[in-house]
Amino acid sequence: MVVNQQSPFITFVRKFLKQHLALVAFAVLLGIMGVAVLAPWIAPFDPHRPVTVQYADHGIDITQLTRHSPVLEGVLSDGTRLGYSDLPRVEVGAQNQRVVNARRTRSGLNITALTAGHTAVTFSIDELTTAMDVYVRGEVPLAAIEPGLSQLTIALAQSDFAIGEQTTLELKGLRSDGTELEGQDTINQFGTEYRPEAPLQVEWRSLDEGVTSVNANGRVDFLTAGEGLVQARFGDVTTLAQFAVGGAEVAPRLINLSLADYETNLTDAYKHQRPSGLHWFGTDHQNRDIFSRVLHGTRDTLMIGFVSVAIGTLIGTVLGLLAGFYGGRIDNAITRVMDVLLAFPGILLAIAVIAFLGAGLINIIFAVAVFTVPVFVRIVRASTLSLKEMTYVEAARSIGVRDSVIIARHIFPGTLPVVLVYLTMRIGVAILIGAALSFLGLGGDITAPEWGSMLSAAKDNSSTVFHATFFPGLAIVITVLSFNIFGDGLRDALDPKLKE
Amino acid sequence: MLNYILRRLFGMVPVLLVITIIAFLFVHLTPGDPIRIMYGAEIDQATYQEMRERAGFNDPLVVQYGRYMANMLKGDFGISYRTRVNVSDEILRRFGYTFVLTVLAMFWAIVIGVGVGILSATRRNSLADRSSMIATITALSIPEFWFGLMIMQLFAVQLGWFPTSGSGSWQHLILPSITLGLGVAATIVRFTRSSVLEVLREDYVRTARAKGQKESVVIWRHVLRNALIPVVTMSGLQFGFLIGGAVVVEQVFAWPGLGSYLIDSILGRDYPVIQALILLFSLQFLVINLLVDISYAFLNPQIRYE
Repeated sequence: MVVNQQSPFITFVRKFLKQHLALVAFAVLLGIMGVAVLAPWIAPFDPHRPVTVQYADHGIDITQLTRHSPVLEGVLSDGTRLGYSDLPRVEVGAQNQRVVNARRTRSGLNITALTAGHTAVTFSIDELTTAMDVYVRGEVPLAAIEPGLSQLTIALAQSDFAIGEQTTLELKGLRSDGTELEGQDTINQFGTEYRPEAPLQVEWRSLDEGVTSVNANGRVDFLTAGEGLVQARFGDVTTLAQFAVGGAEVAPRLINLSLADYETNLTDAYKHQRPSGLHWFGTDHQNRDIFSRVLHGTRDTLMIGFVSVAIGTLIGTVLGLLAGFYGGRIDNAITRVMDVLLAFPGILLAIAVIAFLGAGLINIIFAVAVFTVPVFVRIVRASTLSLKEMTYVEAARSIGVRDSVIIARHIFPGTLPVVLVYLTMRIGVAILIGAALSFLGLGGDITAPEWGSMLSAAKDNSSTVFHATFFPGLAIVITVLSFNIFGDGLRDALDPKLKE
Repeated sequence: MLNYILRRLFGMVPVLLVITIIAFLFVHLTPGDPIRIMYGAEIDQATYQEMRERAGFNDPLVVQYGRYMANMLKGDFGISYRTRVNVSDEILRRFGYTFVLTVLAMFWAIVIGVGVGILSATRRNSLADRSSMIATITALSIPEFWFGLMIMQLFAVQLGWFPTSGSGSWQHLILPSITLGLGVAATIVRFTRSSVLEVLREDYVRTARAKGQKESVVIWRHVLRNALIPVVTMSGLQFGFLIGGAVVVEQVFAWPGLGSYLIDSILGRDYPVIQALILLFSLQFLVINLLVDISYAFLNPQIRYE
């Protein structure tokens, strides 16, 4: 007789390789384990400390994120431009002083983010004002804000006028996003749309003493000889036009202010940074890098899963073998104890154990192990009961093999496939239970980078800070899902009959 | 049948006794002195001794256990250490919340679970079947509390359809009950599917088809009627597990039921409450399991328990 039988192991590997989804899950699991081992080397930041204190080590200047130095120039009536150091004293003001601190220093201007929000910042020298929009990104996404008006310019074809002449000034506006508004009507229309409840309008004013007069449409009458000076104002933003009337000699004067950028985006870098290129998953309530914490958390999470299930499986299998093999009183005693354990529904058994032992990671592992034991006792006992009746066991017994050897050599290997399948499946469950326990605040150290405690710490802010709860949870889902799919594949490959 | 019920009831007694002992020992084996927890460190030694004496902590353990059992049978679970409220009253007040939550969660789970399970089985290996299998394994891999936070973000914070947390109206119930029902729904889908598939392989189904009966009649009259019996019992068993799940979900949605009471009490080391709740939860679970087994015996005449 030709026995053409492959080793069961080869058959198993062949069958398993056919399960593409399970293979993918297996690869993901290997990746996750790799991350668990390499976390300290691949995590970009220290998971325990706020990122702000670590920026220096990474060569990141935190002020890049939180501070902006606007470049201000003055424009003279003859067209010359003056740099900041040549300008007279600049008054700096933030409309909303809670959002930024805007001030003048000896070397330049400075805007520092304080908290998330939007504000306009104005820069004034005497009668001239220009403005910029500052957006500070924080935990809450900013509502869409219309870019405000930043600068006004009066286009003058000529500046010398005779007494009695008239001219109408052409006004141009510049919004902070770079859009240009041509003419007074366009600007006024924008003023209505920008603030419908109290529409802004262009206002004209003559600043000289009787040389010129100007009406609401920017039409200037030149009345006497001298230096004429007309101001256009829209909200806070102003500009000037200078005239030499009746042949008067006038010195060049500052007529406009301009900025290199009229809008800037800063970050509130001290808490709850939103996901960005620097912090892929954002930062948490203590400004720790969530991506690094998730990477580091892989360790604790896998440890809870592996260790607790290993302990549970070991104890459960031994008890199951004993109960199934010996039956009678031993079986009865073990079954009774398991009945008591099984009388606590689901996670409550683990919670009860924690209530006894107190909070902490080790206690969580122990609680999950206790939770796992009855499952293995039940399945191992059942499969021992049927294996016990096998002829080869009877044969072993009849030649006087010791009980311990029969259990170890003849029965235990038979239970192994079921145990292995359940083991993989239970790791997923154990991770879920462990995370739930930490989430409930029973994990002891709430500052530890463990996925459940991260969620627990983030849950109070979850309505505004989405990223702090999203990413650690996603990590749990991916890990548990991989274990479940992998377990499914193992089961199908080992014994399709085990399918529920 | 009566014999079976009596035997099961009798079998519950030792388990219950052990659980009362465990619950009783909670106060005595866990760290911390109850009198100190209750009154803090500010009372002097004499008052402390007097309090201990009055609370009966100086009696032998057996006497204390006897008194504990006697009180418990009268429905007296003592006074909460933290709030000084009668534990039984508080449990009664909160029980309704947890009950409504679990029943509604079970409702979703059965409606979705059985519906999708039947569809999956009758269209085996179709796209719908495959996607529902992937959906269920995903649902079983999602932590309930995280799912709760996510749907809270979507439906309460972004869309504003439901309140984020708390209680007071039927809208408050929707998100927590869906969260709680998710895992059970997935389990029921898988179970229904395999149960229906198993029955579809039976000879009498082939016979029904062979005699030319319409497929819908075959499914409704022959398959479902038999396939759903184990589903009913399995759903019953899952009901017990919902009690455990409620502990977590109540915490997420600040639902004022027994689950959040338990967690608050554990964190505050309020042992009389922990004692009473652990006893109550396991009693509930045992009773549900008993009812499930009895209903199984009723529904399936093949089963002989004698």
